[in-house]
Amino acid sequence: MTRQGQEEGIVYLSIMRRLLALAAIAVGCLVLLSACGSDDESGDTTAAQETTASETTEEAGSEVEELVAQSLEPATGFDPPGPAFDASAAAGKRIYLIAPMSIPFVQQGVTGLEEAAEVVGAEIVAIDGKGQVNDYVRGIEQAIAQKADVILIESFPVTLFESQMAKAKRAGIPVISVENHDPGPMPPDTPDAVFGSVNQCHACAGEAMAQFTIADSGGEAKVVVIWSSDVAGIGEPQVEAIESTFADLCADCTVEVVDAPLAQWSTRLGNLTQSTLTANPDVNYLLPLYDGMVSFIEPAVKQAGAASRVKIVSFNATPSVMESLEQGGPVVADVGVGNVRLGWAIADQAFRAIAGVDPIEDPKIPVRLFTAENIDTIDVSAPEETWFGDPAEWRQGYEELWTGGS
Amino acid sequence: MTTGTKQVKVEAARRRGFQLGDFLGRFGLIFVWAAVALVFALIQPDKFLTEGTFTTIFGSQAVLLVLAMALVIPFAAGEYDLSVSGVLSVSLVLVGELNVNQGWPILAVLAVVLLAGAVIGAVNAFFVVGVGVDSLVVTLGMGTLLVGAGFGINIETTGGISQGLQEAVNTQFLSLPLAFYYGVALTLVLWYVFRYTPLGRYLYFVGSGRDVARLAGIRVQALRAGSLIASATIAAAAGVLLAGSLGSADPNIAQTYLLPAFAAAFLGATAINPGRFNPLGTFIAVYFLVTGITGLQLLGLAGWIGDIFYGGSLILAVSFSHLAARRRRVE
Repeated sequence: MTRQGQEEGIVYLSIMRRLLALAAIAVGCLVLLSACGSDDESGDTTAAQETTASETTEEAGSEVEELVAQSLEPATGFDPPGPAFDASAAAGKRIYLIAPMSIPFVQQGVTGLEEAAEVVGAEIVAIDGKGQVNDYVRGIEQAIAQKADVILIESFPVTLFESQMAKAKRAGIPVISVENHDPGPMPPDTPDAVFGSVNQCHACAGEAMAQFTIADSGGEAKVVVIWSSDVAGIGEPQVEAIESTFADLCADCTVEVVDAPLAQWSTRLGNLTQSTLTANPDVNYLLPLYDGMVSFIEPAVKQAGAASRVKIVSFNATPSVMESLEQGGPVVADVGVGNVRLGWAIADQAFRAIAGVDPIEDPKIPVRLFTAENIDTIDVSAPEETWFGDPAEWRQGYEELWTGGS
Repeated sequence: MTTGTKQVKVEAARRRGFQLGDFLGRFGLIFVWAAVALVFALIQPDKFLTEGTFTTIFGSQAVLLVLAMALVIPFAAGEYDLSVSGVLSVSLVLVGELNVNQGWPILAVLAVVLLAGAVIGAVNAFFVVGVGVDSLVVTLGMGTLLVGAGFGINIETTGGISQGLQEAVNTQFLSLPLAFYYGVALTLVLWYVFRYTPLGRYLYFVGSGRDVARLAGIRVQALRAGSLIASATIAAAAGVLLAGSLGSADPNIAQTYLLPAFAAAFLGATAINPGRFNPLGTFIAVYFLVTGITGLQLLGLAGWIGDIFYGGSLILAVSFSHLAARRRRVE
């Protein structure tokens, strides 16, 4: 019995020890983390720079208002993204697209891609990648096996699929990366099979968001930017553009950046919004990079009792958010890019790959800023391509581009 | 005599030991919760010790709480239900579609959505109990099917959900939205059922050994089927809550609730009634996890660190509880 008693004592001692160890680990982790936290804070103080002379502030004020006025205007004419070429070689060719088809803006892009393919007589085969790597791999393998003429990979970086890229290279199929970074030269680690890329200008969107915020706040914005680190390729250029615009044009503004990975939007973004507003009681603008975040942010702002002080400025011009903007909703400004036009730009790059001409680096798709000031000039219930200027202009522009050089 | 006294002392020590172990097992998670809160309060008293933090922690997790409660019922009866997030998704999208696009009054929508949940649960039960397929497989398939159905019903984001529903969910009482109190009410109802009614005890009995329960005259099949119908119906209610709190519906957003709800239910099984899935433990687990996440967010540490905290706490707590339970069994 005594022995049993001792054993029991040992057991509970060991349980106690484990519990204490658990607590110690938790405390240790937290102390460690708080060190990182204080690093962040020191970053904030550098962001909050001292006011310079009032003259420069005024100059910056008028400059920023001019920039905002430009972003509010629809695009006119067509700025050709590259030299004209003969796209007739694309007739009868099959272009495979692997993309997350359940996302509405991807579908709008497919609409544009199909329209453009019809112009030259090419065929589009769209495969749903469902946002999962295994479905992408299957889609790419399928495209290679069926002897695609071009493979388009949207939303997932091509570097993820190295062995499929090698296979495409051996099969002589050019690959085009869509919406993975900003316009410009391809990153150095790009696989050989990749012909080029097509991307919206996320930095331009970031600039427009920041410029509006500076002008709207009268140069007194305390901003929290919410980005998603799991789409860093497109998020980083946008965040950097926002930060540098504030640094250049608004000495009194402060910018903090917080991370809400896509996978956490539904479960944690509301919570993050509330704790961010609690931790920073003077924040007056939230800049979520994607307006799909707004449905989680908006209720959290209300719940934090901050609806009267906080305005939301975002990007994507998603129809439901545009409707709420029209009705004076919590989003005061939304920047967008024509998705159907992006589809045409993707087709343009694919035709260049087939025609054997050089790829272009920038499809030059303009962004437009929507606010209460110009929302009435568009019909929100009409197709999104009509929101960014006359779609006939760029359609005609592309068609002329493709019959050139012959 | 000496040996006798010694024996008595040992017995007393043993009883004290048992009580201490029992006590730690029951309330360990609460202590860890308090410790985590204390650490955050010490690191950043000006930010953490505020009403804002309190409402952030308790006001933002009602949907997760209700979904975790939905899971407790089949878990207690020894069944899995991986379809709850699919039900959540379909229910959310249905509220948007019927209420906004079809213009149905909200009460009719509620009735249809809850009924749809019950029907889905009954289909699960048909395959699990009637046909005899493993619940893990059936509900996995059903969950995937329902996510697809959600997209099929309406792929777009639908805004403008009934103001009445939004008010019924978001109106604040003592700085917390009503959604929180619905979660608390559900927790208390389930706690009462599991603690004080034969139904609750039978569910645990079925969960610990189906054959023994059958021999004891319990209607095992009916209870297993009922647990799956209950979880799907409650998950549909969680979808209504989500629709009300967001004011909009979207087929993309519900799937990510599955794993956090599972984590909360498993973590909950380490508290109050250790080794058993139980409502109060699950309630504590949900708010322990969100306290950690919120504290980290206030420190400026959002994103991946939250996942490390979430996953790490789950493994540590369940391992600890498992070891404690094994030691007890050995004794």
